[in-house]
Amino acid sequence: MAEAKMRNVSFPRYAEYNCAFKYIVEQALGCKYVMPPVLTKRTMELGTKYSPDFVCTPFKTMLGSMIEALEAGADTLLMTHGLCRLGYYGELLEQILRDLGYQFDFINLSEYDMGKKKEYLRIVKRFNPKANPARFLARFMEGLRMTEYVDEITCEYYKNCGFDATDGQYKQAYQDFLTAMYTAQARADVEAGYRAAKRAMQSVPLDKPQRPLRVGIVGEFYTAMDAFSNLELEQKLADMRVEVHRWMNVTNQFLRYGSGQKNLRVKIQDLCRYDMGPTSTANIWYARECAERGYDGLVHIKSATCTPEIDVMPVLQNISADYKIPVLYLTYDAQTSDVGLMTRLEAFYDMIEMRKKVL
Amino acid sequence: METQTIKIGLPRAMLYYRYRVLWRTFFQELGMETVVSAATDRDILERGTALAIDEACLSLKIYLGHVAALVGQCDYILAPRVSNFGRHRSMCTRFESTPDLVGNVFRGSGQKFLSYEVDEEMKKKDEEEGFVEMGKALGCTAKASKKAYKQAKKAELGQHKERVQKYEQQYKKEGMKVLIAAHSYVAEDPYMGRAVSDYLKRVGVIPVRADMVDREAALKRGKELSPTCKWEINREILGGIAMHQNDVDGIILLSAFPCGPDAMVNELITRRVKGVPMLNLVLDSQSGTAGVETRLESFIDIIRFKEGKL
Amino acid sequence: MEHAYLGIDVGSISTKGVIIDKKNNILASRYIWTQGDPIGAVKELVRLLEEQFDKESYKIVATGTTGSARKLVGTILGATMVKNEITAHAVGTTTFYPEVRTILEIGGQDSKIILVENGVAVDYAMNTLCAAGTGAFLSSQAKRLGIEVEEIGEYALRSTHPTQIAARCTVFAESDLVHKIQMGHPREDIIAGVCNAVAANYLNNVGKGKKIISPVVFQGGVSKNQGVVAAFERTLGCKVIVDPNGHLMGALGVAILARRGSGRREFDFAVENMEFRTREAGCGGCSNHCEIICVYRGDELIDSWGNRCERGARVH
Repeated sequence: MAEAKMRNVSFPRYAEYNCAFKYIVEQALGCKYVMPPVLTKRTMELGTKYSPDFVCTPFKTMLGSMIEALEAGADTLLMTHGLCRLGYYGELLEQILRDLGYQFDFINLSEYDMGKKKEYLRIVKRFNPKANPARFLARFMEGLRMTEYVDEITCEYYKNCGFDATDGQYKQAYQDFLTAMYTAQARADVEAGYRAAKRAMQSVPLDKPQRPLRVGIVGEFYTAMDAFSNLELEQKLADMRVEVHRWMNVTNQFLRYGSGQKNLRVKIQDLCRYDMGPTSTANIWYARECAERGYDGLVHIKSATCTPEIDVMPVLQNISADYKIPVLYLTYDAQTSDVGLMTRLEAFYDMIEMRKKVL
Repeated sequence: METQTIKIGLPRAMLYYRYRVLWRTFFQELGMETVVSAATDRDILERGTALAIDEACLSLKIYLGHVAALVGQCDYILAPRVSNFGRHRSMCTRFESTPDLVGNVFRGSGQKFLSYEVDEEMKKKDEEEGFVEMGKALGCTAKASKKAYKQAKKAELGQHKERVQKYEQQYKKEGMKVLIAAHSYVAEDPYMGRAVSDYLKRVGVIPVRADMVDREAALKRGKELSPTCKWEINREILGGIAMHQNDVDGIILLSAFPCGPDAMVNELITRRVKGVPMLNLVLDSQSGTAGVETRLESFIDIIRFKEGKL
Repeated sequence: MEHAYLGIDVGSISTKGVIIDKKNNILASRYIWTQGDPIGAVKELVRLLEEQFDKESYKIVATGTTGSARKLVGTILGATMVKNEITAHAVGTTTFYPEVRTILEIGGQDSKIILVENGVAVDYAMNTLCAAGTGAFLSSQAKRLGIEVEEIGEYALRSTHPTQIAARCTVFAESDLVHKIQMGHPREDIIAGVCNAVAANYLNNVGKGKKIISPVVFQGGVSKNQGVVAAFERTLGCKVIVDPNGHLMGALGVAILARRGSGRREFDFAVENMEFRTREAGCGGCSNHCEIICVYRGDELIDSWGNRCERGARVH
């Protein structure tokens, strides 16, 4: 793009990471970020309507979110590369949107060789030809820092929010933190928001038993982390006074283990020798870790037809048998009603609770 | 060396249809015996269905049935990890998970499994290296393994070339031709795609195969049709379609429910390949072929009608 | 006057109710069709239970509800215990079969498996996505074959060569079935095939990876079907216990849970004469358009639920 017009960039809704996308697009790339509307039933209806039948659900969610972003004024859409079907999302999403008649510029990371450093500069220049690489890198790192904070605070939140002894101060602290991240414009805002959240959450009195029920969450990278997609499973479990633990997030998967998860594989060599898919090693390792720590149960979350997570299930079944830890397997399609989920979760809760009393 | 020859079991499913010559020749060159499971039948499908996670694809269910049929019949069952041949040349993650998947499903069966790894993108490990490692694990020298691999690869490529030439002849024949775009393990399995080509032949249509083309040329042409298609086999199929779409009267996109790559690539094909009648046929574990035949019959009718022959 | 406990299980297809004494003896029980009207069904059920109930000697001091309409019915009846049907079934069954190790359950739309050790549920699974192999599937196939659901078992047992039916998913199963009919398979063989498919589908889906240990108890509406029972026994190679009160197990379980619970509230049979209605109010707060269910007794709003978000509180 030779003209000086600033791009209006968007990336679909994904868990609580859109604050970091926004920060990177605006502060590092010097473009404007168009925040897609929060995911709703309408998003799913749009996405499902135009998607092939048995594509995995995140594709449908992202298609719906992209349509809503275009409606909200985006002129440039970004799609990531990926190791499973995610790596092909971009091309098919673009084709479907073009066939529908939308006009936009599409930056598909799958078109670039992400193994080469040079390519990153090309991508940056495509967003903004005037971008300064040094400045980009500095502010991009700040965006990653924000991601780490989001993951750390979210992890803390679901571990404790079910035991809030006040009338919702813990949740309020978390919401305030997210607001701070979504509105941050400089590193100082990010740091201040993080510190304030730490302080606020630590000051809320918790009413937690000595040995609360603890449940570990494993599963597919999008659905396990996106509260809308998993019908707020973590909040629902937490509300039953359960400590909810999830290792899987962007920080742990990419920022800390970007160069492969060799050291996680050490402890699970007897269960699997290789990577079975993009997140299999982490999920299997964490499932066993939870079992060894004596957690009361595991929940495995995936979207319908997610091949890598289907293949992880036999391993989880073996872990479940070895450690006698119950696993609740949940498959999410594009449904937005949580009636069935509540029944399953309530029963799961009753079971691990009664089991704990006896065992 | 023991006097008894080592017996390697090859499940007649999934990559067997692509690599049977490579596998058989390699093990024979090393003085080993291979045993192949019998053709897919209802029993194999049922055993596989009972072993597989319900949501897994039909191809995996059939594969596990074949593995089950070989358990206890051989020293090792081959279950390779074929992840990728480089960037944008991946296999479905199911081929990445195969050794660990069968290891966990058949845990406690006492059966030993044999694997080789191909992962050029992440581990810089190509097929040859994978085979040499496997040969060494079986007690052969690196040199002998390498030699056996070279022989085996030559035989595999030779066989593929021969098959391609045979299909080239088909295009020259008079009569209606329909291109079957499918993974070889779908197209050739008697419980999946074989019914389709058999039916076509029975009604006087010449079936041709999108994957029966020169692989390197197909990869290039496939990239033109879908620049970021990351799956090796789908890219070959895309290339086959690009090379032959003008030589055929119709295309059948044939896949096993719910194949991950096909779900996306076939959608893209229907959006990008125009001007030739296309049928999207998804196979599940149906015990009869009547449903499939009805759909094929109407598809052939549509083609004949379009061409003014009905 | 002795204390008694009421348990009601409102499922998508049938509504079940029991009244028990403190030793879990059944004082009254009924089973009727829900017919898409849980409120109407419950009022009718309460009327029928009242006929059997000895009001002179007993009074109901706690009420439990379970099943897919547990919340709605719990509100209407003033329940002291509202429990999901999986827990209710587990509690009911382990009370009557303390030795049980595996509970198979196939209901109208859900199917589940519960593994029990020492009288406590230790693992369970439920059908994932579709209704293939559940009661709804059986009744739609029965209709297609022109027979009553109740006759399925009888037909199935008459077959000597059950037809193979693919039952991985309802759509595929139906098309397969249609072909089998058109190919001229005898009706009893097709029905036996459907029963086998239900059992196979259940074991491949819900029962996958679960170690099924005897004693096995089979319940839910489909357990009334002899054909499916026989298919399970054949596949599992062990006896499958079907309790004549198996269909009441959910109601029994929740009555027991109500008895064990701390809530006490005398039950008033007058509900059968009260006017209840529900109203669906669409929330316009966001494009989720949450369907909020409001329950009224006469003109008084007694409860509402269904709103899934507090998103209004967030800036983004």
